[in-house]
Amino acid sequence: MFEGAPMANEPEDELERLFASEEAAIRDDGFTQRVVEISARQGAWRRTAIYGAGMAGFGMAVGGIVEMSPYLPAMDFSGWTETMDTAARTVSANASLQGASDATLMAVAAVIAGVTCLIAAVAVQSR
Amino acid sequence: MSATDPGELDLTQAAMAGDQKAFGQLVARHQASVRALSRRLTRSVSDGDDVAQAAFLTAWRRRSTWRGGSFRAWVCAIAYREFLNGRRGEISAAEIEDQAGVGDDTGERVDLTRAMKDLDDGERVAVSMCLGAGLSHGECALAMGAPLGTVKSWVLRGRAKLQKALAAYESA
Repeated sequence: MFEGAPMANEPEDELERLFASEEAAIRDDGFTQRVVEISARQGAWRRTAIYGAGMAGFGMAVGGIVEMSPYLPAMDFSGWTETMDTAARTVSANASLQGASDATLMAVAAVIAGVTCLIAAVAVQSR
Repeated sequence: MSATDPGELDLTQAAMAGDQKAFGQLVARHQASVRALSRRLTRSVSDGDDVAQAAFLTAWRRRSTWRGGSFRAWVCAIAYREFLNGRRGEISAAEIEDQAGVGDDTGERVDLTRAMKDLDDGERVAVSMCLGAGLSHGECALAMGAPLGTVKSWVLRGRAKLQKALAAYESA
């Protein structure tokens, strides 16, 4: 598939002709195929590892939320934004008045952490 | 085949964007140069091919770090770093034989291999990169992390030594 590719150099003097002749004597002998196969295998392993780590991070974040559910305020989605807003106001107004707002903030932090893990995984994968 | 060759540039850009087929074509195109360079650096066929393979795989893995320019010069620089990263080892007489006695080597190629042994490390690397792999002095200086003037004098001195040695072999 990759055999018979053109040579890279055009010799200019006797010494370069000798170097070029040495280079021309190197046959591919499956070298290219081997490199391509290994690089494909490495890519697959890398993808699995990185997406796996990203999904694990997301799973742990979601698991953390589930574990915290007894301590969270009622999960009424209509009031979700209001709850977050209240929590934020409460924390900024008085750090000692935490409790339910702490749990809400932790849940938000966990979700952010999970999403960050996924974005990092995608970013690292594309490098 | 230069970095300005549009076919080469397109192929390199495609490979660096993750196109495995384009990468394969680049490897096929440059494997002889990179393997020849690596064999000269390690003074061994088998070690040289290992270094060349590692260099291409590193190039693929780190393709996002390619900042334009010649693919061959970039991989040669990686091969040089791979060589420095502990792959050099001790050079035994058997390994030198390994290179000198490879396959259908002609007498003059064996002479070149022998003459290369008499060069200093810097001269050998610079000559291998510039005269062998066809890198410019600037690309070689960048790859070796050496001043441009030093690389130029290594190449000049190395070339003179090689020519003298080859002339001596010829007259003997």
